[in-house]
Parts: sequence; structure tokens; C-alpha cells
Amino acid sequence: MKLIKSNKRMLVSIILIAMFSIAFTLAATLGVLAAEKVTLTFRQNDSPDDAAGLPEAVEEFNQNHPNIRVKYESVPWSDALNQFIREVKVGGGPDVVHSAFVWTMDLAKAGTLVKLNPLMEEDPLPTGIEDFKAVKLGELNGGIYGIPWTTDTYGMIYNKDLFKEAGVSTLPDDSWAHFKTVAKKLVRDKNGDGITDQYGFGVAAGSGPAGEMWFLINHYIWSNGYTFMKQAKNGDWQVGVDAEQIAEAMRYFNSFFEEGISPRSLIGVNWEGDPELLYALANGDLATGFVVTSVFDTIRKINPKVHMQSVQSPMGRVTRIASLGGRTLVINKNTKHLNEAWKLLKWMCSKRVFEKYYTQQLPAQKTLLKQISIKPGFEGFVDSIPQAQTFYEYIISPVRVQTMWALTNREFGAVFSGQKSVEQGSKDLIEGIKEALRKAIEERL
Amino acid sequence: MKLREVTFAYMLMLPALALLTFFFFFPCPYNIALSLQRISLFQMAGEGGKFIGLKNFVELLRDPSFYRVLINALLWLTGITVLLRLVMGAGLALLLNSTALKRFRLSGLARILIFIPWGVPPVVAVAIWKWMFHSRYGFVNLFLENMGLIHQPIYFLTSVSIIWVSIITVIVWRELPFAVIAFLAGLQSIPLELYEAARIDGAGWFSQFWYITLPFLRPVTVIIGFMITIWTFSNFVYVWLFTRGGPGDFTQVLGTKVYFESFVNFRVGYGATVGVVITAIMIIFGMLYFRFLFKPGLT
Repeated sequence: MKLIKSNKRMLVSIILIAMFSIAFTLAATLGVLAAEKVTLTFRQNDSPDDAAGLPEAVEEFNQNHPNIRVKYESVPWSDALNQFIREVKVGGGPDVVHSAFVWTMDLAKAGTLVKLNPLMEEDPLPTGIEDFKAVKLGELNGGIYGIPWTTDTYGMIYNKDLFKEAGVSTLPDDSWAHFKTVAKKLVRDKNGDGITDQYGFGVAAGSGPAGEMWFLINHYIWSNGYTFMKQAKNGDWQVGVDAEQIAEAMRYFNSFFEEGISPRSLIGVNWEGDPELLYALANGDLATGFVVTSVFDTIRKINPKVHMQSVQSPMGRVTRIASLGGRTLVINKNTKHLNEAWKLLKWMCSKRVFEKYYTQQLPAQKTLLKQISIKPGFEGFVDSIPQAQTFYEYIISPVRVQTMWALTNREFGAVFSGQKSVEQGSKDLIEGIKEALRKAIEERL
Repeated sequence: MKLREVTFAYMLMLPALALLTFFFFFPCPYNIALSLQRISLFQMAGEGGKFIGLKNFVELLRDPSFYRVLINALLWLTGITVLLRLVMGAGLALLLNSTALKRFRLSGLARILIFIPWGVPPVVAVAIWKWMFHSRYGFVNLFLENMGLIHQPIYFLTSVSIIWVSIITVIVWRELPFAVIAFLAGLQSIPLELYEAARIDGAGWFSQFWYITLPFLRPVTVIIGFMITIWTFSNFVYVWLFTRGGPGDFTQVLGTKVYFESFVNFRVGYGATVGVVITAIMIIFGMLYFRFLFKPGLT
């Protein structure tokens, strides 16, 4: 009996040991496998419409890289910068991050980004860094800290059907004055009740610090030969436009509201993606508008029947010019998986991503821009890009772009809403920028 | 009390004290420390700032726009909305507590309707009202036009003559239920025998209200007034979502100025200075309130 009992005990013990061994081996194997799988976070800042296709692009990357798992996350533009800085400060943050063109250099100066040159040497970009536009916006002391990902520019868009109804063939881009004349022709009171039903021109003209008026104003003043900030030959920075030149721009844009070409309600719209502006353009309540590439695409998604066309910004006295903005991809200095992060960054810049997933954005690579098929209607935006100008001069100036942006929108808003005369508004804007320059130089010293 | 009991009491309080230290006592001195530095948002991630003493405070006090912003915060954002909430809150609480509503079995429905706005997040409340106030598509303008009261739309969201009225409407609509609840609780704590005795003595509706209801509501009024003033004075959400401080800087308040300085101009030190000034004003307000209204109000 004793022998049988001890045999049974031994058998149970052997089974238990075997089970533990198998479980241990399995756990260890899985653990090793799990440890080998690298987890990365990719963060972008656009609205779902603007970022459409990106989650799918990330998913394809995951499928093609079984040992890398990329987590996709979105943070709105308004919080993106301060959230990233807070995270980096405490040793965290996403691995590959979407930055604005205008932030990259400051982020690099703050030591938050990885210098990409060694990665580019080890595993080069297919078409080389020279193929990318606006690379210098992410350069610091000879190092490259950001890869330009997309480019966008603002352009005029118009509703072909409303133009036909008004007997106008196309939106003229030969001068700002002519543009206004045509926009005025498109204002209509359809039912004769004394209230305008169709306006000639729409832009997000709010006073908020990130409103789109800033871009339109820059198109206007650049095309007339001025700029907000310029560097003198001796290296000193100075304001490159005077109060009278600003007053001219204020008078021009304010006349759209005073003459009823643009609805006054747009003075309260701070974002071009605001439903008021989008739907008015999509439904024909606004005949023309000033928007960025992705918004143009959204308008056509809202109303697929609308016949919209983009054209370049009007010609100024000196030139025709547009602002070149865009998105940069950067790698967080806290990343623990540099090579994998670089692989992901390269994938996001690839032809396949722009051709299959991220089709509403234009790539920052010159060759890719030629290779991918441009959607009909986008021609005006694409034509603008070769002569478009980045905010590089503003970025390297002592005054932050956002400060000039906020001041400009604020003073134009004060004029549009009748709080200030054009003379007062233009004087206050110039004084405000000069004061910001003085403070910035003082702080630098 | 024995030493062990004292130690045990402190041990029980320790988690709460630790949380307070972490979430309150650490951020406050940190904010004050930032206000004494020249530091940008980018510097926060790396090199840090430079100590400049009280220069940020001097700059703020010399900035003429600061006084406009302060008046906006004191008068429009806080003064008028607090006053309206107190008056309307007391009025609605009286209505909800009235026998008339009970008689028609409408108290439940009325309470639900009045409390609904409180369940609406501020961001949604602002979005709803922005559409309602819209000059072309909004219900308010359409209603006024159909009633024949106006022939041209009113620009509730962009006209400087009326924009504060629009912002105040949203704040009062969204925040009123809190005052109503508090006043209702105050009304329900008044002994009914007092009203019966007053009626027997021949007191009318107004006398009952003046000599019984109002004195009993005074402690509630004092406490609500104090709380909603503090909550509103530094409020950022309503103005930011409604106007971004515009048109121009017409509706800029202290809460939005902190944001502007810290996250638009990236001057975190200067933004922290505005934050310290907000705290200082509220501390002074609290002390005066406590001295002149709180103690007499409660007694």
C-alpha cells in the first residue's frame, strides 16, 4: 500500500513538475517574444478629415513589421506643442511626432528632438533629403531635426456653377482689385427680401491667434513687396512694412465686409474648418473662398455635386506668391527605439502612403509631387507651390511667428468689427510688432 | 489624547495630505517661481529660465491692455453673471418650491428642465448657442425676423455692442442650475411653522418673503456668491470657445490672457505672472468677503 501511495505521489509530482516546466517554458518564450516586439507611438495633430487614411497607413506598417507595433494617437493642434514639451520634460512622449513647419527649429533648439543625420546616412531616404522642400526649417547648426512630410498652401477656390450663373467664366487672379470686382458681382439677394443670400468671398476672419487671415494678409503684403520681418545687411532685424502699407491691406480686406461682399458673421470665425465656412462654400452661400488644400477636399466631400476649382492667389504689384506651410515629422529624443522610429518615419513619407492613404495632402518631396496623381480641382494649389514661400525668415527672426500672427489677426479683427479705424489699427499693429521685436532682442541679451 | 492616537490620526490623514501637497502645494509655489523668471515654453523642456525678480509684475502693471482685460473679467465675466445667477437662481428656486407648481404636478418636470443645462458640457453649450445666435442660420435671428421685430440680422457673435450679452447668456444658462439647487435646498430648510404663524398674524405674501424667506436665504446666498465668483473670475472656457478673446481683444479676460501669454506668445513666466495676479485678487476678494459679508451673512 505504502509503495503504491509513494508511486502515486511521485507520479503526481512528476506531472506537476512537467506542467510547471511547460508553463514556465511557454511563459518565457512568450516573454522573450513580447520583449522582442517593439512598441512605438505615432502622434498626429490634425482633425479626422485632415488625417483621413493615416490610421490605415499605420496599420499597414504594423502588418509589414511583425516585430513593431505602432500605436496611433491624435492630439489637437491647440494642445500639441505644450503637451509634447511637457511629456519630453518628464522623459516621455510619443516616438514619432507630427510637428508644424514653424515649430521644428524651436523644438530642436530646446533639445527635444533627435538629430537625424546619422540615421539618414545609415538608412538613406529613397530620394535623398535634397528632394524635400523646406528642409531648412528643421535645420539647426548643420543638423537636420525634422523631415518635411506634407506641404500645403492657401489658395482661392471658386464655385464654377455660381460663376456661370453670374456670367463670369473664371476667378481672375491677375490683380487683387480685379478679384474684388468679380467677388462683388457674385453677391446676390435671391428672393428679393433685402437680405443677401449669396456672398462673394469667404475667409475665416476671426481675431483668434491661429486664424487664417494671417495667411491671406501675408499673401497680400508679400505680393506687394513687403514683409513683416526682415534682416538688414548688418544682420539687424527690423519690421519690413510700415503703417501705411498695412493700412492699405486693412482697407482692402475691410471693404469686403463694408461693401457686403463677405458676411460679417465671418469676423467671428477663427478656423477655416468651421462648419459655417465649410457648409457655406459647399452649399453655394459663398461663391469664392480662401482655404488650404485639405479644407478644399473636405468641402467637396460635404457636397460631392459642387463644382469647385482652385486658383492661385491674385497677383500683387510685385509678384504672385503664396505661403508654403506644412507638416514635419520628428523623432522624440526620449525614444528608446531609434531605428524602428526612423523606419516608421520613412514609411510615412513613402509614395504608397501618399498614393493610397493620405491622399488629401500633398507630399513635401518634389519627385513624389510629380509622380502622384493630383485630384481634379487641385491645380491652383499645385501651381502655387513652386513660387510659394515658407515663413523661414519669420522663424529665424527674434519675434516668434505665433506672436506676429496673433497681433495681426487681433488688429485686423479690431478694424473689421469697427473698434478701430484703419489708421489706428495699422499703427497699433506696427507698434505691437516693433514692441515684440524690442522685447525679444532684450530677452535674447 | 495619547501619543499613539495622535499618530494614528495623522496616519489616517496622510493620504489626503499627500494628495494636497502634490496637487496644490507643489503647483502653487512652482507657479510663483515661474512668475519670477523669464522662461519660454521651449525653455521649459530644456535649459530652464532666468530669474528676473519682479520684472514680469512690473511689465504687467505697466501694460494698459491688462486693465481692459481686468475690467472685462471683473465686470462682464464675473460681476454681471454672478448677480444674474443669484437673482434668477433665487427666483427659479422660489418657483420650483411654490405650491402652484406642486398643485399642477409640474414640479418634477420643471426641475428636470431647469437642471438640463447643467448636464451639458460647456463646449457643447457654447456650440449650441453659437448656432442659435448665428446671424444667418440662427434660431434667435430667424425668430426675431419672423416676429417682424428686426429687418436685418443682429450680429450677436461679432458686434461689439452685443457680444458680451451673448457670452453672459451662455454662462448664465449653463451655470444657473447650481444656484437654483443651492437656493432650493435653502428654501426647503425653512421651517413651515414660521409661514403658518406669519399667516395667522395676517402677513401677506410679500411680508412673508421679506421677513422670513430672505433672512433664511442669506447664508446660502453668501456661500453661493462666494463660490461662483471664484469659479467664474478665472474662467477660460466660455470666452475662449465663444470668441477667442475677439473681435480684436474686446472680450479678452484674465483666463484667456494666461493662455495667450503662455501658449501663443510662449512666455510662460509672464503667463504665470497673470495667474499669480488672479490668485492674489481672489485672496483679497476672499478676505474682504469674509470680513464684510460672510460672517455677518452667516450670523
